[in-house]
Amino acid sequence: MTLRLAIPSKGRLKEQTEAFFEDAGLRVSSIGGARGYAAKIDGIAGIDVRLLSAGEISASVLAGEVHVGVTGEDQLREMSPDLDRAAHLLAPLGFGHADLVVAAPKSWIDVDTMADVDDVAARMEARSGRRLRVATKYVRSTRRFFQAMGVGHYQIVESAGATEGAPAAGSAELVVDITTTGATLEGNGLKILSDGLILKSQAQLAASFGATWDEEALAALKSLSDVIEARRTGKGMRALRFATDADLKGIAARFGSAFESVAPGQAFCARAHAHDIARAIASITKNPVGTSDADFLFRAENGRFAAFLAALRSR
Amino acid sequence: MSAEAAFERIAAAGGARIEPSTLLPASLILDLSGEAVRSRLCTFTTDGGEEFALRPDLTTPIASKVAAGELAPGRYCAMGAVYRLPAPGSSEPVEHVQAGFEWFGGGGPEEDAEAFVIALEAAKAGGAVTADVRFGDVALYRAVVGALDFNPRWKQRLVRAFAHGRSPRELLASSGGEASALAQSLATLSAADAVKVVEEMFAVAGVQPVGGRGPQEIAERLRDKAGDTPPSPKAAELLGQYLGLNAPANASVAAIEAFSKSGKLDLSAALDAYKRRLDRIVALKPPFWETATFGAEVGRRFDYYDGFVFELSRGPGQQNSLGGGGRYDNLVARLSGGKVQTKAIGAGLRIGRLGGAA
Repeated sequence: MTLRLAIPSKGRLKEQTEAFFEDAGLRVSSIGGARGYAAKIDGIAGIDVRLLSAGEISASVLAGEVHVGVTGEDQLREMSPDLDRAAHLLAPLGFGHADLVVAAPKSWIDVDTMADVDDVAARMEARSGRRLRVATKYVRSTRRFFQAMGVGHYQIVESAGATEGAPAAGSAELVVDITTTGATLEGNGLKILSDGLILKSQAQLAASFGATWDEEALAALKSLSDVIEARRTGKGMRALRFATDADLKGIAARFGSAFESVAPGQAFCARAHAHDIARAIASITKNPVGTSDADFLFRAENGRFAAFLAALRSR
Repeated sequence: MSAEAAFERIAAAGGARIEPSTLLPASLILDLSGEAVRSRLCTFTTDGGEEFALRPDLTTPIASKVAAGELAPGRYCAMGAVYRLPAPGSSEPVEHVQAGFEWFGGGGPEEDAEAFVIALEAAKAGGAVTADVRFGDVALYRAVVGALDFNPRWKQRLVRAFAHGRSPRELLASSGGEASALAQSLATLSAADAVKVVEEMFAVAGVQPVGGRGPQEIAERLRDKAGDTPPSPKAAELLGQYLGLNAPANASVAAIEAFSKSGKLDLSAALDAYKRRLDRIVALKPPFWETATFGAEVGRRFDYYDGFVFELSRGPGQQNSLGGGGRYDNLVARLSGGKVQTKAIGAGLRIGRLGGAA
């Protein structure tokens, strides 16, 4: 069967996803005009792209209705009681960064840690018989984190809209929400607790364990993953061209894994060391050395795909 | 039928059979056991936003009736379905039948023993051939914490951690350092001056007090924090030793006494109650007693138990639990906001499992 891939249908996440694929030479073109909900990826056969909202993507991956989806780890973890059994995070995509954090009013200058929260919650309950209220959209993640941190007596207030406004509005004391820069929390008179980081999230290529995986679907996913990994690796590397008779033993010893010889006169090296390595080779060979972008670097082994396959087969 | 035999044994201990409410306000259970239990509750919400839950046990509906003054303190027993959502990855059924009793208005170690023995005898009458019995004593844990060299804030924290299921050892390992310079300097001022300093800080920083806590409460807590010294390594080590205690029932008194002697701790009141309870149990010769063991951590995370506590199982893991019970002398007071004070003990058995199958 064709590989069903779900990507965001609107907003910033859609733009970032398309830019990410395009950067890897994989143009996403929608079928049926710009507002269509189906698309194809130029360059890889056997992929059926569906455009869905972010929430639908997480739900579809967890339910096995699509094979893979591009969605935030925060949302996957919130929607699944046990993500490791439902899906495999195949590759972090480097965008959609968001931290899920616990924030308290800035005026609570006596509160810096979850232990302080536990203490304040106990005092509040003893004084007023009321539990400390935590406003969040991330009910499940909050519950898990508070339990792990030993905070027992509190009450979750599910928020539908602007969670960060809850303390000022008097509908909750604490907030659990996602933040990128902390500016919105700051603007609402809130601060992040020093041990209040629940999850560092970003967009992920998440593969569903519940989907039906046949050879064709696996082959299509491997093609997709190979290209993404080749692009990721290529970005961090430079290609070197130099005289074919160069003796590179000293270079290999000095730079270790940052230097990979390919064939006489050709090598790849880590971007950060490219200039040092090029100058070192030039001084050995007494000949010019050229560097260029590697663009894509395909390897025989794709460790990330292999890890997914192993996880899928061990189930 | 074995279920009836189990219930007959429970009813024979006295007490009226009652039919507790199936449906409870969700807040009642959450106020009692905390938000963490919500993922296991069968809840639903009215259009008006009011939330209800199916009873997760028989204790809560009965105790809340006593707290509301609708049931006089006395002995009650009940049999019926209870509802808990399975944990992720578990295939437990949502509904199972429990038989149990709740006794209000008694108290003391002899009653502990009587309740415990009836629960074991009922398990046997219900068809259990073998059962692993583990018991603990939350009051003894509290006595150990009370006798050890912790400051009052740490004592409260350690008692809370035990009730909420966090390992006290983990809590101790994560204990922070000294209080902040601000807390320490506020502690040198009078209470009124400390409040003024905090108010001034808010004004300078342009901070609006939100979250229902004003400068007064914050200044007060900061002054408390100044005295919140980290626990001494010796006290932490001794508490770790206590929590590690596991002993066969007949060797448990010696083990606890040896611990109290080596730590030079006065546990005499709690230990005396423990001995009286144990002596009475031995005299009553309950089934499954030969292999019963004491464990210092038994009872952790059962928020409302505050004394003797026990559990029966046919092996490790939740899917093998046969039931359990314990003393909850403070629960009714908590539920009634202090209006009704009555000591209480109760137990529940999962009768469908007693016969071996299911």
